[in-house]
Formats: sequence, structure tokens, C-alpha cells
Amino acid sequence: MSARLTTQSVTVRFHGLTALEDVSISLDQGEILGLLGPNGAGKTTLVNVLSGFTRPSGGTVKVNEIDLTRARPDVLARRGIVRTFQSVRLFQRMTVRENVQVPVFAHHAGSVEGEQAAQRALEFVGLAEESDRIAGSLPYTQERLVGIARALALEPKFLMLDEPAAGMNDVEGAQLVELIARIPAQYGCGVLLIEHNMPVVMAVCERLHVLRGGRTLASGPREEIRRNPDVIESYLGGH
Amino acid sequence: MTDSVDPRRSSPAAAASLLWIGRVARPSAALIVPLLVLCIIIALTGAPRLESIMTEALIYVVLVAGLSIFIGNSGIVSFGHVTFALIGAYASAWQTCCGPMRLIFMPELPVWMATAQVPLGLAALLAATLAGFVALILGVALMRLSGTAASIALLSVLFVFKTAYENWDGWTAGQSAIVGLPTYVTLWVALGAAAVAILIATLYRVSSYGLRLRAVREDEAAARASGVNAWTQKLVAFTISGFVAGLGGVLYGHFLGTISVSMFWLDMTFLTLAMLVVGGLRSLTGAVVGALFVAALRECIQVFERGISVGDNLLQAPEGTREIVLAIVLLSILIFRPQGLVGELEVGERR
Ligand SMILES: Nc1ncnc2c1ncn2[C@@H]1O[C@H](COP(=O)(O)OP(=O)(O)OP(=O)(O)O)[C@@H](O)[C@H]1O
Ligand SMILES: [Mg+2]
Repeated sequence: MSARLTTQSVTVRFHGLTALEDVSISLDQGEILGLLGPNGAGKTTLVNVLSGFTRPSGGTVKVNEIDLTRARPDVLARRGIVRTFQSVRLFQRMTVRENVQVPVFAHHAGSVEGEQAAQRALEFVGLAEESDRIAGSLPYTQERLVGIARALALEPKFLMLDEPAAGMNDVEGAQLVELIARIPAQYGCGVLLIEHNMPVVMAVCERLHVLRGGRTLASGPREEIRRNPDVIESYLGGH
Repeated sequence: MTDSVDPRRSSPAAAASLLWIGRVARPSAALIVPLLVLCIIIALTGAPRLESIMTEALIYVVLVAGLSIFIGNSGIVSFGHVTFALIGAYASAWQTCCGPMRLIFMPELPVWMATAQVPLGLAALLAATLAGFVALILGVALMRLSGTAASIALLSVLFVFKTAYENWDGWTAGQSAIVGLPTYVTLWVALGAAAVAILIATLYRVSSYGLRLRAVREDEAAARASGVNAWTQKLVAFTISGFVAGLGGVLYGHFLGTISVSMFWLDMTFLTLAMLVVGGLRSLTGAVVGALFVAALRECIQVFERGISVGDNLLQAPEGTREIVLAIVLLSILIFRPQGLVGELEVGERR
């Protein structure tokens, strides 16, 4: 059965500042949903809520009808709700293979299946050759790919990618997008993609959700968003 | 998964377990065999002084290996592990000390314990297990902490236990020493214990538990996002390292034949930490190398403290030189080679 990850009216306040207000989204297994918004719009905060790192001041997070609003990050990760970090955050002094084995062992400790899941994830992102290198010695682009492989090794149901192409050049970015587009078919998961590059987003996401100042500005199929006057004015206008 | 054995599955599984045995055996042997050779050489020289120096150094290998299981994999510097050596040493004394004198030193021991003659090996095992158990109980609360907060909390554990043991007269003889412990810790017993400690530390390090704790050490948030329960992983390492440190305490008591609470205090804390830092905080090889290196260094300085005659003159270093030189060595290492003598290296391990 296909699952659906939803937030209902999520609100996050940090002291006086409201980072998210009344945000409801849904992500289905098998689809790629684009999450857009200018800097400080609350995109990362939303991922933090979905992955259990930030407790919302109001609202709920659910998978189907199961309430996961107060679940810990590690529990959510083991249940298949997995995120990457805008700043990558690899295990620097460990090898690439070990980086990808950590999530695998969180599932099935030391088994042959586990080794295979790690290997599969590395092959998928094209880094099987680099598996004995120390993560801290990798160039930036490969670092980001290891971050994605590490997330995929958990065999997610829902995968949240926080600006995976940040800092890459156009060619690398295009390759990465092509890779991301293949994730739902390969892993059967839903992908939430945060990305600033509009052509990229329009190319791979059937559905988009746009935030501004912590509120939902627009949400729907990409053609609709592309024509939405609010979005054009406040977000697309500048590009 | 079915219960029946699938013949196609058994061969990769067998290959994997062989691989795993190799991953434990190779690095353990790479540390144990040189120690064995060193012991044989020392035994052949037949110098009792040298033998006792090496025995003590091997006991420190046990203590520092215990420390390294926790510190090396978690990245949390523990100022409290000597507590477990203290617990182990006293627990062994309760079971094995000094025949009829036992009730004179420790009058409040329950009768069954005061009269029990537990075999020495079993007593050591039970004592170390108690230390590991206390680590488990303390860890349930303490392992919620990270970084400096955890280090300070662990130091306070040492203070609490020292005070408790010093005032728990009926079980510990308070501030006075307990003498007459069976001194069964020969060079070979110490070597055997060091081998066991190295094996335990290696098993833990190459296990999925060690890997997950190192992930927490590198980046706790990323580890949690990868499904790792940081608290559980720290607790596992803390318990195992408490057990090994407890074993070190048992050995120390039965090496000297006497124990007092003040033996397990800041001197030992500083010395064992210095050994680990000098060798390399994040490596078991570093723990072993550091323990031997610092033990040897201390011995050399002590020779000077006692005085050596050059021609007609007696060259003598003043009392306390040992601590000062050790501090200087430690500082130099911290400044010039902060990763320790061996850094991240693990002998016998392929990266
Ligand atoms: N832990 C925190 N404490 C206080 N304020 C925070 C915290 N995390 C985020 N904020 C604030 O919440 C708002 C939303 O931040 P968030 O990181 O979610 O934006 P973003 O859409 O991911 O932006 P960017 O494109 O720069 O990554 C910002 O104003 C930010 O300063
Ligand atoms: Mg962000």
C-alpha cells in the first residue's frame, strides 16, 4: 500500500520569530514534490519538523493516520522518513563505505543484506569506486552524493533533500537532477526536493509547494504554479 | 525469511563471518603478539624488577583499553573511569581478601560474603561485572549528555564514589588500606588480561555498535538522522568500558596486594588519560602504545629520582620530577602532535 506523509497546520515559533505558520503539505510515495521559497522562507524548518529535529508549536505530522509529531529523529529515520542536510554533515573521519553503513546497521545489524544495501546505494550515486576514501577528503560534489547515498541506504519511504545541488556547477547540477529523478522508481519513495534553480524544479517535480515568510504562498501542479501571479510576482519575478 | 537453511545463502553468510573473524583477529593479534614477544624477552632476562615493571604496564594497558572503548569511539573525554577500577578492586577484595582478616578490615560484610572463598578468576569476573553494571546504571542518566557536560558529570561521579567508599567503613575500611590480597597477578596473568581487554575493545570497535557510536562522535545530528539512537550507543560503550576498567582495578589490587581508596583518584585518572592522549585518543593501538610508552618513561625518570652514580658523583633528580616530566611530555604532544603518537592508525587493520 502506498503511504502518504502529511503535515496539518504546522506552526513553528522561535522565541518571537514565527518560522512557519499554518503550513499543510502532503507527500505521496513515488512522487517528487518541489519545495520552493526565498531564503528564510522556512523550508529547512519544515524539513526539521518532518524529520523530528524540531517540535512544532502547533499542528501535526502524520504518515497515513499515524501521528508522528513527537517522534524522535532516529525513530523516524528507521521508519523510513529520511532527510539530508543543507550542509551535508558527513561523518568526516570515516570512510565513504562506513558513512553509508551507519544507517544500514541501524536497521539490520551486520547482516549480508545490510552490506548489500550499502553497496547498492553507493552504486546508485556512482561512488562505489570511492568507498575506501575518508569522507573528509572528498571534493564537494562527491560529498553531497555520499550524503544522498547515506539517506538512501535507509531504504526510505519518504526522502527529503535540502538543496542537494547547492554549490555545484551547471553540469554537475544537471547530472544530480537526473539522478534524483530516478530515485522514486529505484527506491519506491516519495521525494521532497528543496531547490532554488527554477528550470531544474520545473523539470523534475510534478507538484510544487511554495513558502514565503513561513506561510504557504501556493501549492499545486507545476503548470498551475508557473502561472500563479503571486508566485511570479514574489518569487519567479526576480529570476 | 524461512527457517530452513537455503544452500545458496549459506556460502556468502559463511564468507561474511570468516571475513568478520579476520577483522577481529588480525588487529587483535597485531597488538597481542608484540606484547607476548616483549614479555618473553623480559622473562628470559630473568630480571624481577623488569618483570614487575612490565606487569604494571600491562595492567595499565587494561585500564587504558577500557578507557579507549568509551573515549575513542564516543569522543567524550571521561574523567570518571577510575571509579570503575575502584569498584572492581574492592569487589574482588570482598571475595578474596586475606582469610580471617577480612572481617577485621570489613566488619559489615554479610556473613556469606565474609566467609566465601571465591576462586580468583571467578572473583575477578564478578568484580568487573559489578563495575560494568554500575556503569550501566549511571549511564542511563549520564549518557543523555554530550561533550564537556558529560566529561564534567563523569568527574563528579569519581568524587561521589571516592567520598562514598571512604566513608563506607564497614565495607571498605574507610580511609585505611586493605592489605593481604592474594598477589596472583604475575607477568603472564597481566598479559592474559591485556589480551582479553584488547580482544574486547577490538570486537567492539569493528562491530556495528562501534561504527554507530563513531558516527555519533563525528556528527550527532547526522547520526540521529541516520537512525542511530545516540543514547543507546553511548550506553553500550560505557558499560563495556566500565567492565574492562573494573578488570584493570581488580588486577591492580592483586598486583600490589593492597588497596586503598586514594589509589583510585586523580593521580590514576591523570595518568591513564595521559597514556591515552599520548598514544592517540581515537585508536586502540594508541591506547596500548601510550600505556607502554608512558609507563616506560615513568620508570626511567624514577631511576633518576633514586639516583644514578656517574663516576664518583650521584646524579639525583628531585622527588616529583616524574609528574613534571610527564606533564611536559603531555603538553608537547598536545601542542606538536595532537592526534597522539599513532594518530588514527590501527595496526593490522585494512582501511
Ligand atoms: N533554531 C532556530 N532558532 C531561531 N531561529 C531560527 C532557527 N532555525 C531557523 N530560524 C529562523 O527561521 C526562519 C526560517 O529559516 P529556514 O532555515 O527554515 O529557512 P530556509 O527556507 O531553509 O532558508 P535558506 O534558503 O536560507 O536555507 C529564518 O528566519 C531563520 O532565521
Ligand atoms: Mg534552508
